[in-house]
Amino acid sequence: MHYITDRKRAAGKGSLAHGADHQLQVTYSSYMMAILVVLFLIRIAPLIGAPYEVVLAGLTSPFNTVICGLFIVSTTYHWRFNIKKVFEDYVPKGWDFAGMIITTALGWFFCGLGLYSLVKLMIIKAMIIVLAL
Amino acid sequence: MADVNQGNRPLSPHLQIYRTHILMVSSILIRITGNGLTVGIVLVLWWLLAAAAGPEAYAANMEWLTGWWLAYIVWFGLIWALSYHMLGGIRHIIWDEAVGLDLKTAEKLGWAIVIGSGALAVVISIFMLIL
Repeated sequence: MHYITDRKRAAGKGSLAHGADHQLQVTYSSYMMAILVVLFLIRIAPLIGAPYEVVLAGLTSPFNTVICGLFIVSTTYHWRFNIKKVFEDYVPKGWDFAGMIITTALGWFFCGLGLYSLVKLMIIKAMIIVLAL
Repeated sequence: MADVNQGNRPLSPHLQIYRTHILMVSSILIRITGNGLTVGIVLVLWWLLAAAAGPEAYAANMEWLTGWWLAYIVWFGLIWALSYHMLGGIRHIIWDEAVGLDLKTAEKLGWAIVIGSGALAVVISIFMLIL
């Protein structure tokens, strides 16, 4: 330790490892989130708890389907990224790695479930239209 | 310099001796609401999957999701948390441009997102109750 220079001790300890990149990635995604959350709060959130017919009609209108789909993908991405920070801050080294494996898997799983629901709702809507013909 | 003892320095910030102020509270709340919104992801997915499962399943699941008193509190809390987290994020985007960093403006922004998110949550919740 006594023979290490200040320069040498500082090398590799800065934002090189992950900090600046993580900050930028979160900032990029938060611009998209800011827009999508507003649209979600206005268009999708009021449908929660509404009667089935209202929900089916609301979620299968083209604009709402795209908004909801984008919201699901963007949210699970943003969630994965920021849960990583929580693990780094509060969970002992080693466990945060295991936590991130689970979080990444869960994030994609949630994303898949959400998109599956939207596709299924559109199929239900299409079948209702076809059966009515 | 190279031989300075670096393992025995005071740690910062000293949370116990800090006076609680709005910037500190609004910052911590962003993290709390962000983590709390994990519950929001699960509940919104539950709602979407229930709708995808057909009318009968939807009605049955809605009794759990919206049919009792605790559900109203949880959904209002989530709508508020989402509003707050969004406004807090926008505040950080503004700060990233090096705007509003002086103490007066920053404290005003802190109060603005706390009060603004409350107002936004009430408006959205009323829309949820109407439909």
